[in-house]
Amino acid sequence: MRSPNFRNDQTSFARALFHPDEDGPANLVDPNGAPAPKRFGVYRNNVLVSLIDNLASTFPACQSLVGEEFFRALAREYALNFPPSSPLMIYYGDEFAQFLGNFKPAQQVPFLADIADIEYKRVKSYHAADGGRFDPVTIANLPQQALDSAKLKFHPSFFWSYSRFPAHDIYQRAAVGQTLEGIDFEQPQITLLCRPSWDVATAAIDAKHKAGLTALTAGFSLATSVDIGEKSDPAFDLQDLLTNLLALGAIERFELKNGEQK
Amino acid sequence: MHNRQAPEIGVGFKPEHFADISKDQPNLSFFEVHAENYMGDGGPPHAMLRALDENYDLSIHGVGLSIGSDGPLDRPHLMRLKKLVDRYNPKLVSEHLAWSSHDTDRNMLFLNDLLPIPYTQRTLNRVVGHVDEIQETLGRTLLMENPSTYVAFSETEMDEISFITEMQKRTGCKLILDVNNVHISANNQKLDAYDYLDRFPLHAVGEIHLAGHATDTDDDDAPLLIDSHDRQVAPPVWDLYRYVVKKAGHRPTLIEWDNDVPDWPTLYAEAEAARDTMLRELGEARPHALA
Repeated sequence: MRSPNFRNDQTSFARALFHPDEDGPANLVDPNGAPAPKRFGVYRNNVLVSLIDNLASTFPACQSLVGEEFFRALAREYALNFPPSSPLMIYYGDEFAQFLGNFKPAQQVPFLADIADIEYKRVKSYHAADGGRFDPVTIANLPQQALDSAKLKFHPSFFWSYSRFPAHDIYQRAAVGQTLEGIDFEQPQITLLCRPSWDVATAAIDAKHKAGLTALTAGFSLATSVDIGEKSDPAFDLQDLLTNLLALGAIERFELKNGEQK
Repeated sequence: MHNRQAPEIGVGFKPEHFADISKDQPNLSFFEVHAENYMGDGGPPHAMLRALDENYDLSIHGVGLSIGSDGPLDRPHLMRLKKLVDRYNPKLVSEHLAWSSHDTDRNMLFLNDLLPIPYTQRTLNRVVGHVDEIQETLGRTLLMENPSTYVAFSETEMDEISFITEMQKRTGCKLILDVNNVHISANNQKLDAYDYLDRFPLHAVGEIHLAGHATDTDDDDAPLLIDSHDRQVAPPVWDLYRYVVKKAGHRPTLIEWDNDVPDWPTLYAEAEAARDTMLRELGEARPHALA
């Protein structure tokens, strides 16, 4: 039998991979020409298991929080509904946090989506371009006016994640398999991620910095970001925020208004 | 003796072995990496690859170009591969006789597996076109790997060897002979692996792959072998390897171990076994030729 349309064959093959309840394509046979559903099942299994394994390696803290069995069930559901759209499997799972936030069974662990957000950003930070190191000399003795109008140039591997839970504390415990005993779940937290040298480093900062950090990463000047930060939360403290960002290597340089890059 | 070539042995690189490799500086010729794992912009993956590149040859093995696709090649992905190849200028660049991407009406679907194609004139023309396009874009010869398969297609018009031979002739590409895949496919397709090797265009083989496989069962409860890359090379695969080395002589040989990755000494022992095998087989065959 000659296939009239090869393209349709790959369409039905691809479709059947993600519909475990349906029969495999009719043109797949064993060496004797007999139908071979179990043989097709090997591909179906390979594809799903590889996607689930990929998610397990990107989201180990999530897996530690809900246990392997439940995690793999969540990952399977995600893989069936959000299969990869690119061969760059290092970045698979970009919608996993959002999926967990919307998926009823996952909502039993209300902070799970926020932990997934941190873990995905860790992967992005890991693969991000190499960046430069901040040199404090570049801002020594600058007049206040120059600093006010300066904007921050962040390290390419810098990411951050806001949570209404203490997500960084939870993430750190889960990453090494510790219990969450003693954590104050009412405490919102911002997680900073950056890879100033070999490994991705993380740090927690107070949630009062949320609006100010949003403004700085959106490219507003220090002075404007302070305005925005203080309007949102009077406790916003630029000095404290900059100290934390610099400690993590998240700032490459201050870009001064006259174009002089310090 | 001065004519004797040292065996070129390599292993698939895993980041967890980087510290051991840096410390031991093992006696290997090359490391092979999956191209797609190095398509990020920076960070440890590239730092490690740069370090390996200082002391070893590199082989870049793509798993995402979907050369067997019925649709056009994924051009953005081909350009990513070109960027990587231009960055490292590796000794070998290879891909698979398989498909893994599919364009649906709405978007691209990547299936993350090496899926089989029917061997027909139509698919041959398609694959030849894709290999030509890749070689032209990269400006270098591509190595194409023989697949491991679990199913056959009712529409198939020719056997795998005829397909591969014709593809090689028409594109001028080189080949990876994955001996584990030969063993798997021979079992699964009820073919004779030695007959397959006798007919394989060995002159075009630029690299040999060795890996471990698992055993499952098919629809008739007969053994079905799975290309799992999760254990040591099996004895019948070593037998086939000896047979190939005797017939083809020196070929760069790679140990692949991608799942349940062992510690470095265990993986390196497999590479040593491949080296010993090659030396032994060629040592026996050589004296007359060198006399």
